[in-house]
Amino acid sequence: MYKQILQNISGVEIWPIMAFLIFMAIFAIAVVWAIRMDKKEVVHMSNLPLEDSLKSPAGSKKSADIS
Amino acid sequence: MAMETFNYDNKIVRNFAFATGLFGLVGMLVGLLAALQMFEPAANLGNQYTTFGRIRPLHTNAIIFAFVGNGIFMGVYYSLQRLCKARMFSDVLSKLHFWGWQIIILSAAITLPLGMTTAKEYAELEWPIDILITIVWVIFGINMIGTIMKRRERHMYVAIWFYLATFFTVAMLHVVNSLEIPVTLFKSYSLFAGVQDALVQWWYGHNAVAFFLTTPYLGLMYYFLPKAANRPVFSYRLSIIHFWALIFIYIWAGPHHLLYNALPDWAQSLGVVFSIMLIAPSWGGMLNGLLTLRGAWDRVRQDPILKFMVVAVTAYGMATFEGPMLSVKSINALSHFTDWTIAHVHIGGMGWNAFLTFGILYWLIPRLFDTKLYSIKLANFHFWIGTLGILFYAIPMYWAGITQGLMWKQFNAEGYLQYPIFLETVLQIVPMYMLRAFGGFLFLVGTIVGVFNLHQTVRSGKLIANEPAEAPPMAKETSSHYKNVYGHRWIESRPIQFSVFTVIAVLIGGVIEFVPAFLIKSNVPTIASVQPYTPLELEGRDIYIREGCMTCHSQQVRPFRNETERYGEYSKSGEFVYDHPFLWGSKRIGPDLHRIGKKYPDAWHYNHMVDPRTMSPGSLMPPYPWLVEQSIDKSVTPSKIEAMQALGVPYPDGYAGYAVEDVEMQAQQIVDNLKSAGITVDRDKEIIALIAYLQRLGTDVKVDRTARAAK
Repeated sequence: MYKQILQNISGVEIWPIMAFLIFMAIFAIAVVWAIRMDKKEVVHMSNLPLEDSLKSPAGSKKSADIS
Repeated sequence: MAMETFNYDNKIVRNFAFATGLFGLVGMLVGLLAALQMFEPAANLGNQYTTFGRIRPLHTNAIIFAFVGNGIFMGVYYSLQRLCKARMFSDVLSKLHFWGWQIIILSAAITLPLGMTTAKEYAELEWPIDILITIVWVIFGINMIGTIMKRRERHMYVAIWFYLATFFTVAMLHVVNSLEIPVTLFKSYSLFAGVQDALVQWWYGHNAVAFFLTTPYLGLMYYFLPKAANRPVFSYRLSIIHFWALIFIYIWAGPHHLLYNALPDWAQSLGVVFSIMLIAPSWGGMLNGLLTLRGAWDRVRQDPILKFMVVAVTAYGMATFEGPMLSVKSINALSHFTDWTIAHVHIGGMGWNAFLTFGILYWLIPRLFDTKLYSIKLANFHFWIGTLGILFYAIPMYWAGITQGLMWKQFNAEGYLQYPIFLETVLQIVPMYMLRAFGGFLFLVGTIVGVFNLHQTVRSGKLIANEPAEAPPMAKETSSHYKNVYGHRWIESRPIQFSVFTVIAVLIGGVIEFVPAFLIKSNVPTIASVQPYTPLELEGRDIYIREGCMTCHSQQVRPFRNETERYGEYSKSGEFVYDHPFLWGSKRIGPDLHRIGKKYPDAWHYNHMVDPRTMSPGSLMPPYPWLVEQSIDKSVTPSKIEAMQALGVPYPDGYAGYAVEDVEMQAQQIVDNLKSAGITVDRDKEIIALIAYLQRLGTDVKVDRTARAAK
């Protein structure tokens, strides 16, 4: 039933193909981006959460040994 | 370079942390109350305000928006300041955000037990509260983006991406799904009807799980897990791919909540395909989390914080594998409407969300109060009793779901249903419901112990309300610094462009899902015999919504032989064109009601509502004696008709003027029917309206058939 209704929308056949292509494009861009990242930058970025305890010692020293 | 000194605002983090603990307790307590009612209806405390249909949305809202919501804000306000090396943008906005959010929670706690609900799962709150949510959410967004704009660290860490994606997507979901026409201060009708309403609701419902329970918590995982383990995340590159793939794919998968329902095939297939694809990015995140602990597993044995986090990430991995599996149509045919779904969401809720929250709280509170955790032993006890609680909850629910699903589908050798009486399939799983309540009880005990432990910790320390910090101002980027100028780094240092990309990514999925559904609107073959509800039926429908009948009863007969045998003709999309909102439901604690109309006499419904056990001995449905005492408010009926007309329901012009006359007329018929069965009741009573609605359900198509047969 719905196939017939959908056929009334012009160009609906292209819908799923478009969806797939858009997704693949976005995925490919993300992969290329990630691979091309500078090693130095990766290290800097992944250390960001650990940096603040160095800069703001209050509260972190005493309690650090419980974890 | 000159260092700038500033303070981190820890007070706002503390406030959100306290609210997280408090509402964790409340939400779980309400959950336990609901679980008890599953096998002991008297646990509704004998009144309408604490009966399952109203308590269940209170439980889900309390857990999602009060417990997890406050948990999100606690983690975001702590980590965002430190990742941006800046204090929050505005202390005033922080306070407005905190108190605004608590007022929303309070109004939910008042309105939901009173039966004020839109009937849309996880979006039950009525329109004035919806508006308040929008305002408070925007305040949160301004405060967050303002902080990002004045940051001292050029690069936005992956956690911040998840926070931004959360903000924009939840804003979009909330606004679209809350489009409704107000009738009174606390009553509204959804702008959409039937199939389209269902599609919008589950696009929202699915992505509320994605962008409220998942993406912000992934952001928290990416910050707090490395902190607790004291080592950087396993692969930053993986987090980039994981982020973009996740936010892009998640949004498409909503229709998997409506498989085999009266929804276009293409939308169902789209939902299935994208659900399966979701395994990849979800597991990317899970593996990234677990592998962060490589080389530190010895510490997991001693540190309760890491234990909580490991179980949380593992539960995330299990739930995100199970979700796509449940989206496979053949599995969904068995699992849908059963307790399997309940088990699935509690692996996510108790395992992923609650355990990650506990881990973060145990890490955070001693640091905020410059002290040590009161008792590591108690934290370990909390971990083990919580884990046991999850097992005692989930395993019986899987058992119950699969057992009941198979019983519904079982035919005997003669080709009849093996278990034609629905109640048989419920009574079979009652022991599982008891075990589930026990599991929930264990989990609640763990939470009480945890809150006590944190309370003692707080008492032993003193809040560092303003934590001093220093950092150089944000450096100008030099192109020689990194060799690759156009990599992902370009977007990582540009929050505005990043936000635009994120919004585009989530919009694409939404648009592709919706456009065909709304294009077909004008072409949907309406079924000629489907008529708008009479005013009395409409009033009855609103009582059905108020009592939360849809939390236990679906109105969606799927096109399976066992369902057409049990309930009657399968549901067609054209039957729901006047359903503002749709009431298909998502769980069959009781039988489907779409074909209940004219199946039993009016007197049966009367007796059944007053005391279900007189009509079905052993039934677990709560009694609704207040329906024969309370009267319907006919003064609102005309405005309800006008609201429906504004939504395109074809009542004759000026019908609102004499709709009440029709109410009286139809009510009198039912009163007469009841009288002939020996029941005397006033025609103004709510029970009359509810009977009118129940007797109408699904009968339009039956009329069609008899009319055709007559020809």
